[in-house]
Amino acid sequence: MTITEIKTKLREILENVLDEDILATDFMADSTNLRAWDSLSLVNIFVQTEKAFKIKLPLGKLATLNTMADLLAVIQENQSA
Amino acid sequence: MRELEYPLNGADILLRKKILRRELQKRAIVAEKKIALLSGSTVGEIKDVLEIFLWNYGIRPIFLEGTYANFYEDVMFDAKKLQKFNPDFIYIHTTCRNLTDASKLEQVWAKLAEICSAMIIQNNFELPPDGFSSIDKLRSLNRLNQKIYLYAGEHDNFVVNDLNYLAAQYGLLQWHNPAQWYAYKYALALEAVPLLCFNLAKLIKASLGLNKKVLVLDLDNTLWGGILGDDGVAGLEIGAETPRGAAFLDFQKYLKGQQAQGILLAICSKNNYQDVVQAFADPRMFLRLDDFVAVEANWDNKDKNILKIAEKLNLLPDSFVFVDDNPAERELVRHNVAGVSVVDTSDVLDFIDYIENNGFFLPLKVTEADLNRQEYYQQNNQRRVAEEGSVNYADFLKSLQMTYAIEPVAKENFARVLQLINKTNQFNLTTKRLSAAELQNLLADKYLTICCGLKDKFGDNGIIAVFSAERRAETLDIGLWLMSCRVFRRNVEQEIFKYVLDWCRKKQIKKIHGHYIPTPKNKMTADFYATIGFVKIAERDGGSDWEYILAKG
Repeated sequence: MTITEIKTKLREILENVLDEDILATDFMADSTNLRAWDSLSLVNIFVQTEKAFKIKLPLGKLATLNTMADLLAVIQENQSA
Repeated sequence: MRELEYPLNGADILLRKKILRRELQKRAIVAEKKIALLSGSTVGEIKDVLEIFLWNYGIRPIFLEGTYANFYEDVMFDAKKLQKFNPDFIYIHTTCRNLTDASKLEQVWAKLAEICSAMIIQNNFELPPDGFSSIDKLRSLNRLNQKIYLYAGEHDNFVVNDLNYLAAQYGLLQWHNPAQWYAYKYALALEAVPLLCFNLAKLIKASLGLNKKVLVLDLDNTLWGGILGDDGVAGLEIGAETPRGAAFLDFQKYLKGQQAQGILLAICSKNNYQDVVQAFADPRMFLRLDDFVAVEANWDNKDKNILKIAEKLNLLPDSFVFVDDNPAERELVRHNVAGVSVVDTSDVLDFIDYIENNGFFLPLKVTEADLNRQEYYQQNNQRRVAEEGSVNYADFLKSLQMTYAIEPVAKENFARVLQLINKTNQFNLTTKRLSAAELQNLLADKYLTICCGLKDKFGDNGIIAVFSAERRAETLDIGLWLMSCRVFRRNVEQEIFKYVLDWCRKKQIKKIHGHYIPTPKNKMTADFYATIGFVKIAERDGGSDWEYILAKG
């Protein structure tokens, strides 16, 4: 899966879970701070991500996922693994 | 909302939670209820998703969230906060992850019963993920579950949320998600949360009397295999001889069982009436034609026929559940009959599964009136025939030889009165719903709380009306007045009012105050007080206040 395809899928999840009036593309910037979202939404996004990409986010990494770049990286890593 | 009916797609509900929430916010609200969530683990997501399911039933929840994993401490040491919130429901979300000290639960229940009148919803315990490793653990879990059920049997205000069943149904391997437990302290997989919340919402709506009342059934390929008009009675497939015939037979048996619990059965089928009469005379049928309180077998559209059934039974179609193997008929009914629930499957193998898992008729406690309901409606059919044969309505009423039994609410009639209060929609002046404890309070001396039974030559209708008013010096203030739709236009309300007037005279009451609070369903009572001589003294929010001055002497 290319980075564009990953971003498209991830954006869909964010649009649904966050359902906010912000341009979804704004969410996709590498610097987006994941921790700015409420914790319920963030957990939901992690769980939906695991399901959509058929991966497991490693337990040890959860606490270090702070930005969109971190999340994209972990998805890519686990996909190729 | 279809997304919130069985079979659920848990992941999809979580994904689109906020969108569903936004759509449901437009719905009409039937009741507002305060719910305290006490937890042994994380409940944030449970709160959000439960809210969606409750809104779908027209219930607007106000939540109080206990502190994380502190259900015991919240109740035992911080009861004031709970007391102040004064919840209608308390949900105790414990799971096998909290299975440490069983005596704690019993202390919590006792304390809750002491400090508030809320209905307690207690999870039983699901099988643990590491079950095989410890026989002792499984044994104590089973013992504790037994204890929970025993307690529920002995206490009116206590119901069990069968987590054990839900987890098994979902699949234990999926239900337990160690990663989510360690990372977020979710005691069950996030994707199973909608299933859990659906069940909680069903328990809550059932306790508020919002269950469905009628199963409206198609015939061909719904109650039997084959097409009556084409195959003839002999060609219908029903009975133990064929696999498919056995499935239809079991469905009929299931329906008979539902009927015995007080659920009404009706037929809505495109067939010739005479053919249908013949089909039910076939000894292979488990159900008889007189098991149905209404039979619409003709060639009119089904939406029209369902409205006709509603009119006949004096019920609103939103208390109906429609079963039909034909998706086009289901779609028509769903679109054209507001509020009706549709069983969304064409396969006889799935009918029972869908009806049960949607909890349309979820029983919490079955009263005697439930068990006799079918009979009442059959008698009503006889009454209707008598009415049609009478010259005028007054003669008809006279010919019924009615006797009214007005009596104080007491232990013997308590359960039925409580049920009437919580499920009566149409003839209901204030639509106040009460818990058992709240009703108990209305039996104090300063209240006049009575109910009315009605018998006639066709049979005993049981208790069909409730009235409660508070005495304040020389004024009587009516807080509750409601009557079952079975006995509209039978002068019950006049008889009750006569009784109330007599009582007032004895107690030197000079004024009676009444109130009408509008709901989407009780418009028929908007001017009721005017018809018995009250004068309107105020209007607000679509409702009104009324006054009756008693004559001197």
